[in-house]
Amino acid sequence: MIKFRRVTKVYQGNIYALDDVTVDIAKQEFVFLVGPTGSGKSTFIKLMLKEEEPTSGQVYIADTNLADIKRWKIPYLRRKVGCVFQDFKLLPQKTVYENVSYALEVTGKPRRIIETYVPEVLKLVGLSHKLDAYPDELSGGEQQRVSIARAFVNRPPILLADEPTGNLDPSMSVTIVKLLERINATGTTVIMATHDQEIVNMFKKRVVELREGRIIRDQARGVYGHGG
Amino acid sequence: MYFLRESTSSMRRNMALTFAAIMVTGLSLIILGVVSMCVHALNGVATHVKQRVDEIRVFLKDDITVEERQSLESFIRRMPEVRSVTYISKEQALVEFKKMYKDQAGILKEIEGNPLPAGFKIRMKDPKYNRTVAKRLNGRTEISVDPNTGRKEIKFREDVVNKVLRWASAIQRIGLFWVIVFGIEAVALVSIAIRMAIYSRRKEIGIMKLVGATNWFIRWPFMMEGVFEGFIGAVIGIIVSLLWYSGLITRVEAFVNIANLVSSGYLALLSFILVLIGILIGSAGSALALRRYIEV
Repeated sequence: MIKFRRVTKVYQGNIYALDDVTVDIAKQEFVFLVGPTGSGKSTFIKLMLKEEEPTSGQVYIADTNLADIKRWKIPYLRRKVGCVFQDFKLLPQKTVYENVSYALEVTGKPRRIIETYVPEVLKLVGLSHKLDAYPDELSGGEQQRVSIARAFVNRPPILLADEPTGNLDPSMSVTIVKLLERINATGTTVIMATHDQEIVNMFKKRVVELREGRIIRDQARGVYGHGG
Repeated sequence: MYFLRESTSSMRRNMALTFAAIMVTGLSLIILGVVSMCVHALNGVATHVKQRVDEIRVFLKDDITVEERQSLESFIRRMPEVRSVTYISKEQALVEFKKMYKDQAGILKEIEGNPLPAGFKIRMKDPKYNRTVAKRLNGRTEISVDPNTGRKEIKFREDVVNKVLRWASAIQRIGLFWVIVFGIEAVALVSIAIRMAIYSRRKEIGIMKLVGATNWFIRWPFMMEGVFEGFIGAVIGIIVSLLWYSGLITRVEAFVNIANLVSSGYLALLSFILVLIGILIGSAGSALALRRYIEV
């Protein structure tokens, strides 16, 4: 599903965000991308969204080299790669329902489909009773669930989560990752960048550890490791 | 519907700037409307005056005999279209010339002797005979030939007409200059208004990109906003132009005694053009803002 081939990303000032990274992530896998701040996790995710271009090497998603995707086609790539962030990125003036339906409106889906999909996915994340609430009336965990619903409503084959539990308390973090696990069970490849040691240790998924832009560990059913 | 909702709510948020953009667009279109109307009216006046001048003048060669001159005069007099013929000798011509240029001493000083030709002043029974008579006179050898054009010197009295036409072209030039100046400013202001709208919604735009909105989907509401501003500007331009029409042009029409100097067909065409240019200004302004501020 996702292939990184000798990917290096150098930012201005000779800063190596990623350094010769090669990794394969299969369809339906659940991967924790771990490492301290500045280890290259965010760059890894940005490359998959084509928000950044690699300095050298190739990134493939579903056998397509992202370098071959033309600028105007990038939106279509992003519809296949759902994305969840630490700060939720919800629109404050829109309700829960609207925040999710927005993602479908934007891709030009007909109203009939929107009216079926949105309640369905909000039910999946357990927010059927808060359709008309605004984001600032929700707890952090609820907001993150809205943002997951929004990322998933397009049924993307890949879901990226960049520190999705970074702003949440431990029990809420567990709920969120369980939700991601359920989404993973529907056949979606999930990649979650995190430095939440307890979560990683609890779920026992594949762990790819980055440090200073290099993969220093790739372990099935791994734990967070020592350096933390 | 989605786009309409997005653009109107954004315009409410940037009220002052939107207002300025609309006003300047309106101003440039007011000038355009008023100027076009004046030029059109003056051209109408000129044509009208041209039709009412029932006099032509022919100039004679200096070396013709009195008999030749009288033969020409009776030839003209026999024409049924002619009301009267007046002979103007070289001396009379000079007197007339001096009278016409009495405030320009320089020109008078240049003249040595009497270079002016003698001629006939011919009045028609109706201006519509001007051409027929002129054509018939063209065959007469007594009439002098203009060395520059090689044509017989048969002149229509068009000085008034020319004066009106000169006015029209001066107004056109000055007006066009200001239309362009304000037009450019209008584009700039629309562009700034749209830029502000983009800025105030940059977070939303980021999220739209994130969930896979195409660039055009993101651009449309802003584009519509610019077009809408241009359109409202055009409406203001049309209203003021029409007020100008009813306030001034109708009075001119009464004065020169011509009905429909500016026809309703012309008013409709002008309105259409103003709307078109307003929309053009609006889309140019927003395109300018969008080109630089929405990147993937």
